[in-house]
Amino acid sequence: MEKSGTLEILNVTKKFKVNGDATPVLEDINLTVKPGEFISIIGPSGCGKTTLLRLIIGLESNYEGNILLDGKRLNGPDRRRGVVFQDHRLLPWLSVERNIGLGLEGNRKVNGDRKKVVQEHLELVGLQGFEKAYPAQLSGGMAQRAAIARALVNRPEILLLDEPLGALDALTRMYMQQELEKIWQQEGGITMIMITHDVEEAIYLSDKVVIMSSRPGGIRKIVPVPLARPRDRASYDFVRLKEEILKEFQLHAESGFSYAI
Amino acid sequence: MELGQVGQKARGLIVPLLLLAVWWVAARNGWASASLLPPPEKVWSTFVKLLNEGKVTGNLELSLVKVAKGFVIGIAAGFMLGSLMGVSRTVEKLAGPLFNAVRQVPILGWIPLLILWFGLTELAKVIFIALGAFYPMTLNTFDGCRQLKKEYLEVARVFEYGRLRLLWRFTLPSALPSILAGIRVSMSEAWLLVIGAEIFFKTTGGMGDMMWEAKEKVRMDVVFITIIIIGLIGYLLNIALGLLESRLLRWRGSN
Repeated sequence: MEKSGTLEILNVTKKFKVNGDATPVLEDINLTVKPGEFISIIGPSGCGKTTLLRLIIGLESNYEGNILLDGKRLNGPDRRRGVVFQDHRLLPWLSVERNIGLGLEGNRKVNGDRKKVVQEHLELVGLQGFEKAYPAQLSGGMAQRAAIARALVNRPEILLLDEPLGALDALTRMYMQQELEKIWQQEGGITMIMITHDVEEAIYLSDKVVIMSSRPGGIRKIVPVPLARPRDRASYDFVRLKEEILKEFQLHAESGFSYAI
Repeated sequence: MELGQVGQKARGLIVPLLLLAVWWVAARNGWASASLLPPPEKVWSTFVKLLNEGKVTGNLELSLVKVAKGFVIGIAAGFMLGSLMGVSRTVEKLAGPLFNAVRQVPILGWIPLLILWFGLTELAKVIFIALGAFYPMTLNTFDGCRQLKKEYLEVARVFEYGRLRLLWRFTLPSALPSILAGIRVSMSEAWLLVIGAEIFFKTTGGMGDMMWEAKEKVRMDVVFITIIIIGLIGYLLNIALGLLESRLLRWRGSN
């Protein structure tokens, strides 16, 4: 049997009621994500990318079409799909350790020592030593690491990330991109679907970049990224790919020798 | 640093000490008759005398026990109703209108009913105090439970949390600051009402009764003593709850 966790999005249309009229936010989305793939979804704001992610998580319902996981229609959120939100959403009243442990509560499928599972994930995201810290004491990057650990603790097949690094400063962000790639590789076989508005981030991390168009939201183009990992942001192929994707948004990458006017 | 903090705290004593000085000067110069404004040293000597006779501690204990009973019953009931209304729209629709209507009756307005039903008993007084603690506790707990952010609710859904786990892990902790504020208001309400209870539900014992009796006998010094003690105890209770609060909410961080 094939490795499980194939996600199929088939003819999905989602409408929101605005002043009584049903306005389509997403129209006829089709996308298949294979187990272990890293997919980025990129698009202008208001293109419905977050709505698409929320449909996959199961936090939005009442859509037309089908979203299937291993051939079964999804019905609400479950532990097979982990989520990292843009705002880390750690519970401020729990320590880092207990926040990460939250996911394990009520999960009967976890065998063995829960403390050990938490500790492993703390180490995976490099937060050893901060077990007892409260979220208010963490920097943005550290909080997001804890949120990633919390989402992974149930060993989900798919990790859904909604602009996870969007609120971080540029340097922390680049560093976290490396970390995310490392986690993806260490968690062997996990599928990651990430919403982002950062083209470079999408190319750096993804096997495929899904470009969306807006009003109503649809998939404009799916660009495969055939570059070897770890990727060099300054390499010719990387820059060319960035240029190609930016063109889709009628934008141009800054060339190496541009002058400020 | 340490010295600065002491200085900060000491500043709170300036006004009381000034008042004491004015009082002392006024009494000494006979600006008011001694029966209306006994000199501070007379109040102090009466206080020492009453303390030695065990009257102060005895009455204080009676009041504190009543407050404790009424307070615990009141906040327990308020917590139950408030959290039930907070998590269930059905309970809110069923109990909310009645609660809000009954709440309009001033606490003092319950005295005749309580006296007719329960007589001048300890029970009547405890219920009276409990009622005063009940309202703020209910309102604060309800508000707190309703403030759980939608974002956190989504986290709970992603982890497939059931209702009880949601309540225990998300709703109640997020309501805790509001609940603790409710406890504080309820406590000061209860302490206020015990004095009222001891005056209106005429029986013997307690700080309120001691005060009323002193008034009947025109013992201004004793009236002063009771006023000062009642104020001081209320102040100390508030400080104690404040300490508890900052301990339980230390996750909020210093900023």
